[in-house]
Amino acid sequence: MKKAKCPDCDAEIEVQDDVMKGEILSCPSCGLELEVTCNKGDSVELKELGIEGEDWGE
Amino acid sequence: MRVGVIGGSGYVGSELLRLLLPHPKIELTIVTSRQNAGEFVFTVHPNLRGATQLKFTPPNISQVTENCDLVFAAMPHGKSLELVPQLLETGVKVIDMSADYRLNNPVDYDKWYRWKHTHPELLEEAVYGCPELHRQEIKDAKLVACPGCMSTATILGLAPLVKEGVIEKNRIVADVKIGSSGAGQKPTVTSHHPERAGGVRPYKVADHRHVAEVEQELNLLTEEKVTVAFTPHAVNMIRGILSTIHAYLKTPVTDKNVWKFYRSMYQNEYFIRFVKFKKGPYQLPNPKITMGTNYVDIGFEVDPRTRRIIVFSAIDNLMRGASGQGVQCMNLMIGINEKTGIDQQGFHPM
Repeated sequence: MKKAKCPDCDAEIEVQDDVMKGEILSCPSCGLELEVTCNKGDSVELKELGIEGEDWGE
Repeated sequence: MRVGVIGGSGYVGSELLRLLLPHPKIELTIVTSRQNAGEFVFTVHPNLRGATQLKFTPPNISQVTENCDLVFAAMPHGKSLELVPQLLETGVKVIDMSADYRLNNPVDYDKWYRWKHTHPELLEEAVYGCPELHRQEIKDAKLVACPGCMSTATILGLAPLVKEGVIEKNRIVADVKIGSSGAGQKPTVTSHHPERAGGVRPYKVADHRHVAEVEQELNLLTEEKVTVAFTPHAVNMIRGILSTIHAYLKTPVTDKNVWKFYRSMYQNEYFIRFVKFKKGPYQLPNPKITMGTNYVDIGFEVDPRTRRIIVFSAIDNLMRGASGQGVQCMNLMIGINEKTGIDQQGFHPM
């Protein structure tokens, strides 16, 4: 497993070694949906998934 | 380990019995109640039918101390004051669920409770029973004073921010909502169903007694004096507390910074859960999700426009706010895993 950081809450996220660019993950700490932008060597980079979410508010 | 409960007929007593009866490392030997002496425990606490054939006994101190190594005193505030020294004299360990031994300074009892403390020497010995703040002292204690319910939620919600020194320490407002079981078992005019149900009743809005212990504990974390404005509301729940705390940041901080503050203090605390989630209907703490559990659910939101941070801290007032926390302290005092017997998850839906 490789490690990455959530760009929002900074939680450490475990990522499969063979994760592919474009895959969607979810941060187990804050729930943010994340897109894999790079998987090279030991480094996996993530960014917030830029799609409209459902409005859970009232 | 033989354990007894003095004053087992109230709601805190009820919850203690629910936790202690199936507890794998202790034997519940005696439960006292003056008004229910001779009755089966389950006649007063019907949820315990089938769990025990114990009967309430009269509160005879020598009978209690002969049959116990550790005693929970679940008496109303003011009633433990004279009882606790008698128990300690015999060598038993005591966990007092009342406010009678929570404050370190005897003068604070004059100020907040309007009575004089008659055993100030024991206030030095008593340990405030919040494991996240006083774990080692609890392990070594003979007398633990179990914290107040609203205090528990408020102190644990604020502690990392106070410790980090990032908020203005004299501009903190705790707006607290509490369910009806927090008022105890004795009915009053304000607890009467037609009066309470469907309403939100602010009470003791500027001088609630829990302020004393909230400020006492937060002031142990910093050299700057902390002042907390604290306003409780009686709401239409049976169990549960939500403390919504507004504080003002000295300098702007990011969400990442705040996560770091909370993780650095609570990362290894089993009973503290961070609830700041971006999906689903429970994105911030809601006391409903803590029902029947010993968890403290803590979340936050930063409001950069007003340089405010809003912290939410939710608990079950009878569990983490009283009996669950009491049993957590007992586990520490008898040297076993502190999760023993209080590791339940909550109900959903309920």
